[in-house]
Amino acid sequence: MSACEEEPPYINYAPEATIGDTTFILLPAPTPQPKNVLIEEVTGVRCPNCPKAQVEAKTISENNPGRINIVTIHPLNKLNALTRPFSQAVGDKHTSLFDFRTEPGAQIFEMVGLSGSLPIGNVNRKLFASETSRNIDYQKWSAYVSTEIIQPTPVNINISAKNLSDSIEIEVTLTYTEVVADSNFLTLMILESDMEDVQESKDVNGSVIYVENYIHNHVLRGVVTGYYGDLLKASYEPGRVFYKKYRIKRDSKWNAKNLDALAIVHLNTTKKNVIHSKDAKVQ
Amino acid sequence: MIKKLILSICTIGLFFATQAQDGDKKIDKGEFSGNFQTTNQFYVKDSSIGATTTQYQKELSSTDAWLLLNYKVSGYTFTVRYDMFNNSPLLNPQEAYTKSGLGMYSVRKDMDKMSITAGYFYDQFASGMVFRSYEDRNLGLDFAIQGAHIKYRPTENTTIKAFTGLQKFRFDLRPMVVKGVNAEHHFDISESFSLEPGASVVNRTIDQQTMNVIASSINNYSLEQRFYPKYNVFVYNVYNTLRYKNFTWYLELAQKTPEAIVNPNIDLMELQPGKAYLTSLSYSTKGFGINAQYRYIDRFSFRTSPLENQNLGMIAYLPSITRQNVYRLLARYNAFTQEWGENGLQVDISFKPKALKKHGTQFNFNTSISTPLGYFKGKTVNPINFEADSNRYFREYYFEVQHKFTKKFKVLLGYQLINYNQSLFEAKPSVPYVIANTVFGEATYKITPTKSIRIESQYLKTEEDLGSFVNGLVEFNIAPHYSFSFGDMVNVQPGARNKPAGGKPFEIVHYWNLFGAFTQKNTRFTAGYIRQVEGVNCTGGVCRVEPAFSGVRLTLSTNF
Repeated sequence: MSACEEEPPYINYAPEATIGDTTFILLPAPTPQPKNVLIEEVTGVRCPNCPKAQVEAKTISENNPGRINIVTIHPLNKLNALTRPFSQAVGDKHTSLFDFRTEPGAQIFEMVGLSGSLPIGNVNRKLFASETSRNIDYQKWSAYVSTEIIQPTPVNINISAKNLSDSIEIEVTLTYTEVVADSNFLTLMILESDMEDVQESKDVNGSVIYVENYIHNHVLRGVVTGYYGDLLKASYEPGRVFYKKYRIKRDSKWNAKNLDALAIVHLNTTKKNVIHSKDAKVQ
Repeated sequence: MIKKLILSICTIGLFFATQAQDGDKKIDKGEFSGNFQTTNQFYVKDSSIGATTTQYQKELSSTDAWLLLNYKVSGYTFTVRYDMFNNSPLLNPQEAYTKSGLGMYSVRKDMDKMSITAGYFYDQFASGMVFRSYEDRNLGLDFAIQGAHIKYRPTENTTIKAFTGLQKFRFDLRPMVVKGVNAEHHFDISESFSLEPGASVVNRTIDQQTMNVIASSINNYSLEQRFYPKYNVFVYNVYNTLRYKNFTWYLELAQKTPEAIVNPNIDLMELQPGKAYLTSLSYSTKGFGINAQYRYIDRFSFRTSPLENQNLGMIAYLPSITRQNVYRLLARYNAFTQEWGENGLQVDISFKPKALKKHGTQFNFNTSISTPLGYFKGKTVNPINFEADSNRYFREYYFEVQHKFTKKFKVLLGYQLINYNQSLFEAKPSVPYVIANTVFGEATYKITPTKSIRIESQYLKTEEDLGSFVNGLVEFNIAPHYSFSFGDMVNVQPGARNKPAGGKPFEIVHYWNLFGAFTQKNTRFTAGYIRQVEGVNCTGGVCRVEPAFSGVRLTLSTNF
């Protein structure tokens, strides 16, 4: 009978991470920030083509300094043949130092649009006119980034984060500069960079190789708010400020020196589009 | 796509017609039938009665139309229905909806013991408490299922049905899969004793997209209110109809496995199982009939998803257990079924005294009551307690007597008492509980064998809601073609909701209507100028709140 039991959707039973939450109007409204573009790339350590997508994301970021936020998602229990860490215990030639996969990563992958192959990714989680899915081939990212980056954003994000003894404290201030009708949500992510670990790849001849000292960047390590985001509960009008302060326990496997906090303001899990994003180094 | 589909259905139809001709050497041209119905409304803005929805501001007119075509040949039935809504308020009274296209299509093959339907179909299991797929155009409801349906009759007394598909929503489909199976059997124990037991199981699976929305809502609840919602819910029932001499006893027990449903008291979803029990007992003999019906509902909401409410996404059919009235003022207050919890009882008695047989005299009495769970007791159900009681969601006493004085002249007189929790049924917070007394009458006089005149009148007295009304109607019929009527419903005294402020005098409001109909064989055309008060419209047991109407309404319906 237990085989007939269904697997429930993700429900966050983690204790509330919010330690400060207030909203008010502060006029005059500030000057709008330029819109940042989010690229969420779904990847796996056993995916030999994935490093190419990461190179592409890095190139886009370098061409638009300070305007691109990259999140590298290793989804848990999705496409295991491409995402499972290496282990000599099961006959692999290498053993991964890290398991980059996360449950929220899988939830985001599922919410934005599952794919049967990797690499794949999205630009601001948007369904572009000529596409059938929000998660699209990496070769199209650059063109869509160039259309998204010139759009205005109705909300400014200011974020700061610091390491405490065993936790991370993040302060986010959202200030609206325009009226917005749709419900907005704030998702906060913890990313880690500069992690050296084995990655399947391809050499110049197209042969599969294993790069043992591959540097993994922008890896999604945790989601503070839940992948669906925290609903911003007030009317969105010029001068509307949401101030939120979160504190979460820092996982012992994370390197406190290499962490970033990323804030994303987006629509609900049906409409999905990301309105703006901003990151900050966890000091 | 739609054109291709219609072409395919027509081609298949023609193919079978041709086959039948060639194979049997008989000319089987099949049987063609259909019907057409349209309603056209022209809106005249009238803020004095609240007729101010978008059609009064912008579109000024609307049209709804349906053309149904059926073609039967060689055991096959091909059905296509074209639906059209232009600036229509029918599907949502606050919206001007415009779209037209294929409303439904199906192909059915009838064989010896089995029939198979592919496409859209309508059906129900037992009373419909676990599954009913139906259409009610007057309320803008169409719960057709698109999928496959099989009906199998292994013996004359046994029927087994199974289906799977998706529920229709406007010109689209809801993404939740619904499937079910039902079996029933008729036992004749003796000439005067029979049993008809049955059982059903229906399953609905929520799609991932909808589940994401449900899960993200739950994730915004406080920690102690969060729960794991279910993709699948199973609803099952057992039922039986027992007939013994003049008695008929029906019993249906239905339950559902836990799923997320909205608790209307806190407006949050909860993981709840549900149950609904329905029983009715009737006795009839010459000149006397009695029917008593009781229904118990405990968190029994079964829709395509918990995100649907009101008349949307309904899979279970839970009609109001109260009497459906016809006269305009008697039908002013109606009771929605409370899916979260309700005790409902209705008793209907009719009596024709032998001594007055030649006058066709008949007495009808009906009473119904609806309460929350746990309140079907004490003063709430005390039949002689007439105080306002918000736990007495609804109660009606209805009495009428019909008497034929001569072959040409007959009269009906009656009285109705309504107790109505308006705040609950019409979602109007802080309005007072309504107690309304209505006396009514109708007289019909046949002037000649083809000409008759009918007069009806009602007087509804209440201190609450919009106050007291008088309604009168005079109808002149010239059989078989013409019918004309003029009526006026007058708001003679204000109630709690429309009392003039600051000591101003109350302005009497007329809701008059002028109506004419022409009937030619199967075709009927009607035209009317109507001013209609806002209220709850109930047809076929399902109700919805409708805004006031002011304007011209033209309808045409025909069968062929």
